[in-house]
Amino acid sequence: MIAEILCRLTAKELLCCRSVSKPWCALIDGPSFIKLHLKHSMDTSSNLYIILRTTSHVHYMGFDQNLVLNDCVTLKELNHPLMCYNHGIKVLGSVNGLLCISNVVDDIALWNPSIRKHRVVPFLPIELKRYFGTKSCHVYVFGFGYDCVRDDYKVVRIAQFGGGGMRSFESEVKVYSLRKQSWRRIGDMPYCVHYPGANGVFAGGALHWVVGENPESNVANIVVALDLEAEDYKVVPQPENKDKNFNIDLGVLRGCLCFLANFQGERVDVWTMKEYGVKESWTKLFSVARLEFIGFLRTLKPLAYSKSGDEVLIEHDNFDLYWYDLKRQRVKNRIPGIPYSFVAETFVESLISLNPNRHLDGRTQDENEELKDRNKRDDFLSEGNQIAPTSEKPQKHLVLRFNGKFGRSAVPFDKMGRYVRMSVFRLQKCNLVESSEPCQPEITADILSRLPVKALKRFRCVSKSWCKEIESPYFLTMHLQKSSQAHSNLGLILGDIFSTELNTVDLEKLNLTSVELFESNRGRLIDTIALYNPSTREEKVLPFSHSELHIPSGKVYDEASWEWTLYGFGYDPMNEDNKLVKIVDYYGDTLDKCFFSEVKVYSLKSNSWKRIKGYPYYSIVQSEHHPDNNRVYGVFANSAVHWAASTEMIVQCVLPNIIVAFDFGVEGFRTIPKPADYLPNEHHYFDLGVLGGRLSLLCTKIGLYVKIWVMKEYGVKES
Amino acid sequence: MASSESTTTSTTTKVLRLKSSDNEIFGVEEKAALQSETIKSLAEDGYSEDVIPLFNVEKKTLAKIVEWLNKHASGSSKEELKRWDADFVDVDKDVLYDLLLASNYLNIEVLLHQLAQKVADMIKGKKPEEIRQLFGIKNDFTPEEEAEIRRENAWAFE
Repeated sequence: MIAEILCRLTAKELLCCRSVSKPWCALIDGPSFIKLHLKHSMDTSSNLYIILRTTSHVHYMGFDQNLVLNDCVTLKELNHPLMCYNHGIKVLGSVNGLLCISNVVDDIALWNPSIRKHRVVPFLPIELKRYFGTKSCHVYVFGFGYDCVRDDYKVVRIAQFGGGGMRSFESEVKVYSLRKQSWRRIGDMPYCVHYPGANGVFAGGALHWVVGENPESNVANIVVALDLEAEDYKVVPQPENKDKNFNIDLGVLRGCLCFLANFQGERVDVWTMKEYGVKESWTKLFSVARLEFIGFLRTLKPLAYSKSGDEVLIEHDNFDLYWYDLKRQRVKNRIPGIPYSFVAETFVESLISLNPNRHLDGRTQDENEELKDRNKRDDFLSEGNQIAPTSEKPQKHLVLRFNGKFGRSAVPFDKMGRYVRMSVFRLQKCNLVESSEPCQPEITADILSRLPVKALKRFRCVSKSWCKEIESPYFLTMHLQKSSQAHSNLGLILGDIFSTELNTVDLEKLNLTSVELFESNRGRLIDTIALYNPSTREEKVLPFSHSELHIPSGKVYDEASWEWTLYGFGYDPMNEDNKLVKIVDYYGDTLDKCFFSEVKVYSLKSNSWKRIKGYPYYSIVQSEHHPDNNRVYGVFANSAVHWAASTEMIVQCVLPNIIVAFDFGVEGFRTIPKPADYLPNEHHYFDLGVLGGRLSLLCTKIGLYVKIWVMKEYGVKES
Repeated sequence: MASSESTTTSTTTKVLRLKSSDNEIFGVEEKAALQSETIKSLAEDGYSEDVIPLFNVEKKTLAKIVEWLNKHASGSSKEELKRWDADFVDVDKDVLYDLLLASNYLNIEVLLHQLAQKVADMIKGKKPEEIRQLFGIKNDFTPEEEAEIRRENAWAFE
């Protein structure tokens, strides 16, 4: 009876009610009540929220009040637990009141905002080590769902790697179980993911993605289901459509899988599968045309039915929310007062605990001590050191002991993720000192890899094993990976550093092996080059390389000729080596075929120069834009250095028309395709840049406009 | 009141007779009475000819329940019912608990839902102390235990 009443309250009220009495507390914490509460919320569409994620914030709004009244919506902000240097966050899935979120450094956490608890999912490196050559690309997709048979929540990560062609295509699928608190690899998905970043859609106990038959076909026309109980793949039958000329998207409405057919942005048909897995149960819910909206019709996402069931809330182009009237079959009204650009998710409040084994643990006191210790530590880590962990008494003692020993009280959860990281890190330190067990070096490394360089240098004196760990090449790579993921906007920060002075805050943000190339001497004949790592304040002067160029007989190489020097600095992931490439072009004064060049590569590992095959293109220097007009610095992205160059030489005015890449892995040149809408005939100033590790192309028509392209998937023209 | 109403209309339809714990008999039209799952199963077990004894329900509570059953079988419009129900559950808390217990015993799901929602609305925004008072619950936490419980979700008490 009490349960009947209490299941109608919100999560926050229930948390207050826990302190009413012991029986109440036990009732509210009990798994059957949690399920009753969730079921009641879902059945009555109460405690339902819409989460709007913008680039920097997570907002939520109550589903019942504002939306129905067609008032300006009131948004409240949610403080998510994965604070990092950057507030950016992705929602990978929302099931039963749990959100699966990830931040800019790809930390993943399961989070129940209603009870303000979260659990960090351990970092999982990719197992596949195979190198797919210069054209390699990889995609990730995630999914989050519920296995009702095992009463377990699961995160799925599908990683796919491919070079050109079918043969060099590989995938890795891993599942994280909240109950087991670990990742496990499952059978590979036999299809090809074409939409990176598209989260799995959870319905009918399975996660769904739109995939393609193989990497060569560019069409994604299969809906694949990953059953979370059996952990196998099935193809979901699609509704019959006469017109095949559409793109598929998926959604979920009241637990039913939705199939969205987008006909070239003109019209979207929304089908729903009333009975999961039964092809005949596909029902066309509605169809909307572009004209019914303001703007384009690129994406459409059904979010929820209204309480009456007569209307459907839809998200349009990540831009606005509309009600669709199912009875009148038209778009009703746009919801005012929402942010400019967002991703919407539905979310139902629940008390689902992120400690799924809590009730079991009480009964199995005598279980393996070591395992328990680890669980406790995991709990502590995932609590983010906010407050003492909730459930068990022994756990509390453990925490108190740590705190006592090191004289620290719990660190409040600061907005600066770094403080939290520091506190977690200190806990790890306690573990290392206190228990002589080797203490899962991968966890230590994972935590440390998120720290700034300066701190790492300081912590080298913690212990011998730490020092060894921090200096190991594996750790350096991991740290670099973490930091470059963290600073998706590093390009901007770096720009500031180079143009102004270096200050300590910026220095911390520089990553360990981001080595700055600078020249100490601008002299034309003596170029001293050094590699400098501002984070570690180490530098290395490169040995001088003499020009070995032999002037072909019959040509005159005299003082009047020009000389261009191109430099490019980058990293070769194959040989784990930093390399510098120097290209010297010599032009005769006649400007005809009198052209030859010399290419040399310096390797940091071998600390020596070697000459390689010539550079087959004409380099370009727009002298008015470069302060030192005979040097060009290449742009590094995807293990290759890039320059703008030309295939032909036009007298007096050499215009760039190609992008040349020098791959450090194979030490060879190749060209990079330009964007499809790039117009070669316009006399642009043409430059390259790198944004978040992606190559970008800038075109300027002086005084008119600047166009910027970013190559999302390296080496793929369409991106 | 309810009994007089039902006797006037009992000529054409079958009337079930319900007996409260303090031996008061209420006649209710079968159609209305069968909204209660408990009465339904008792009627199916052959009680329909005799008086159906409801040992757990007092006279004044049963009168209210019968009132509700009749209203919900009367074919009123949805809006009218909604307004009527709002008035119906607007009673003091002792009556509300009696009604809750009775509707639970009689297994009238719709009424149970309304009453539970009403109580839930009453709890909303109340402090634990007020809830204890409201439900007559003894605080069995030690002060330390209560502080600990509160600290676990301190934000919820703001």
